[in-house]
Amino acid sequence: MEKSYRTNNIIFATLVLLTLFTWILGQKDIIGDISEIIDGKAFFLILLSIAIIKVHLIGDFFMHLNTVSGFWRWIITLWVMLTGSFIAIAFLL
Amino acid sequence: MYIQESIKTKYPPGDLALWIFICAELLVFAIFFAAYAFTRASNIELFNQYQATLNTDLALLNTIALLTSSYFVVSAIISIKENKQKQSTRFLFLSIIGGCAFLIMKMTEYSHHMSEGINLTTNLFYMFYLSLTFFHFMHVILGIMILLVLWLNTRKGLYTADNHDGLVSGGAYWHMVDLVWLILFPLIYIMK
Amino acid sequence: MKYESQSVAKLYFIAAIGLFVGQIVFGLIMGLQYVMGDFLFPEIPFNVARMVHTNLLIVWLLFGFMGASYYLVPEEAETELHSPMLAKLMFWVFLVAGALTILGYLLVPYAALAEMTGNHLLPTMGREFLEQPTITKIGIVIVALTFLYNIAFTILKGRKTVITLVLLLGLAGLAIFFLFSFYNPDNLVKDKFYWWFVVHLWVEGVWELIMASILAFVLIKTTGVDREIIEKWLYIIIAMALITGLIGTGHHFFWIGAPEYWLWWGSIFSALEPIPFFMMTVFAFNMVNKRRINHPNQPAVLWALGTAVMAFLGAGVWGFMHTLAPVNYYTHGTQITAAHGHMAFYGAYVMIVLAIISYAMPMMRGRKACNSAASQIVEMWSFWLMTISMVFITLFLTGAGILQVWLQRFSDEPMSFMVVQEKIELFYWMREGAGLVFLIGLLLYVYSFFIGGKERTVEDKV
Repeated sequence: MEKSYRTNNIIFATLVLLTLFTWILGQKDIIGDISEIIDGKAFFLILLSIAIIKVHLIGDFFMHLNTVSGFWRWIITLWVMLTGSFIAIAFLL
Repeated sequence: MYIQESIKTKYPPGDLALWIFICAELLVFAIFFAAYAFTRASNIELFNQYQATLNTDLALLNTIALLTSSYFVVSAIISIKENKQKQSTRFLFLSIIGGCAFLIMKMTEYSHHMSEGINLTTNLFYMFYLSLTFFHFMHVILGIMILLVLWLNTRKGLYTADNHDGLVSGGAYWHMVDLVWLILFPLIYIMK
Repeated sequence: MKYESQSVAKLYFIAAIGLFVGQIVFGLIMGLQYVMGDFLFPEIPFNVARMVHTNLLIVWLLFGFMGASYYLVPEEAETELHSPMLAKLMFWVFLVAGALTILGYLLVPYAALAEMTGNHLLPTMGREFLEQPTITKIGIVIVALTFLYNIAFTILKGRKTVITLVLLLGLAGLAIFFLFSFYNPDNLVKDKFYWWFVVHLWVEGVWELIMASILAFVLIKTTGVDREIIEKWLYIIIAMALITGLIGTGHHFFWIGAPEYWLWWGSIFSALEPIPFFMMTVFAFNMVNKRRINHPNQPAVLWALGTAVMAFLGAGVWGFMHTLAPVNYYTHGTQITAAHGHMAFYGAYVMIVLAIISYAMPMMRGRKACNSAASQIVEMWSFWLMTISMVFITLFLTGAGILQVWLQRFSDEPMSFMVVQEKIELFYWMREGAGLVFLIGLLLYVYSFFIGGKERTVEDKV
């Protein structure tokens, strides 16, 4: 059970760090105008990837889908990949 | 029912019926997100201009509030698996606090918009921003109500190490509310 | 039948079927008027036939819902009905009021009817589906309240199950939303809002709860599956039905003068309305596959499965077809709507009422569980005749609708309404033919009640 608590803590810390990173990317006064540093598309893709990873972590660890096999194992990941692709198509094309 | 970590099951933990409900909810949000993204594609300037008026600091705090709340729900489930009802009750209480914190912060944001006279008809960006966040807001309220029931049940000692399906199902719904926000936050507040 | 008082449902069911026959006859008259404009003119003008066709539908479905409630609530609550007397009395009140209203439509001009019934005191007449004279509307409210009182007190004194609670929620909603029909603002936009609050919130809201609970009851009885499993499904289905149905009202606000955001809210939420219907289909087939008993009443199971499938097709798929604002911009108020309306009403509400009638009627007529094998065969024939002809009615109307949209609204040189109507005449003829088959099916259904013989057991083939 100690292991469960530890996993939980690690996942939570990862999620918070990724969230902070996402937030920083949106801060003009901290990092300046983002378009001068990276390409707009790359900026979008970084944000989207972080979001997808976060959702996957929630599904796998918080919702315990890592204890499942088969179709339901991927239900959340599948959802975020599909939703993410739609968003990506709209933003990039 | 306690699931051994080494043995994989065919269906997700908790009630399958609730998982089907979660899927339906996720589908709604997916459609909303796609609608936002595609509408933005033909109004990029408008969307970027008004996105800049949103408060990303509050949105960050809101994300962390939801994540923390979810974290406590998971902790409550781990505790119940060790038959520690008291500890589990405390964790659930903390997760409810997290949800309420989200509601309060979101309401300050809304009241700020309202004082500026912004509503659904102001422009296309605000229409989506208000619709999406408010739809999510309603889910947070529903989620908190579910957490309250779980909290009361745990206090009454209805869940044990062998029988806590209800807790896991309710928890899964709350995580769904959380993960939807994890997309909503970058999509509406930051991506451009 | 476990409780004596359940038998009041019989009156309601008989009236329902009688009015159903009437509805179909007027449907056929009207169908013919589409292609022979002066058929039965001036005795029964088109607008009157249409009013009778739709009003009879609503009234007989209400009879069916009430009968279903009187039958299933005592059994679920495990107690006699609070007041069987009141149930019988209200039956006659409702039947006489309904008959007088229909006679009023047929015998005097609508304007004269309005004057006779004092419409100027509280104007509520003249709106589609809510044409009833104000005094009839007041009668409906009295009947509905008395009915609710009777049902609620039966539930309160007995066992409370999820089925009865969902049913009660649906019935209460039905009564409450009907009250909007008494508000008839001069402002046309407002008027449309309140009109939809009755029409939409009935058929795409609370009626779905009624349907789901009746379906759950029939499935529990005919499959023997655990109540807990069925109740769980019921919860999810009604949650989805309410979320999508209530906000989905927005798909009626597209072009009535409401703010633009309704284009989005209406499109998105109504696009999800098929989900609860889809869940109902999965639910029904799952339960029948998991059945613990083979119920000897085959037609009841057939109607229950049929309603799940046809409701999904008619309400779900055919509704989705024209619910998105960019599509509806072209299809609004064409024969596509008529196609959707026919299959949705038949699939969701006609078939569920026929399912409970099919399940309950044999027992109310003194049998142990079901009719004779011969009767069941005829009833299943009627099922297929009605269902298949309804599929064809829907397909023909869809064809007519697509052509209408194309000629009248989409092509480079749009034609006028009446010119287009003439061009799609062939579809109307075919629809009328399918309608005739439907009537034959319905008459077979009625006939099946009069076939006697030894009660079928599970071993007998049908």
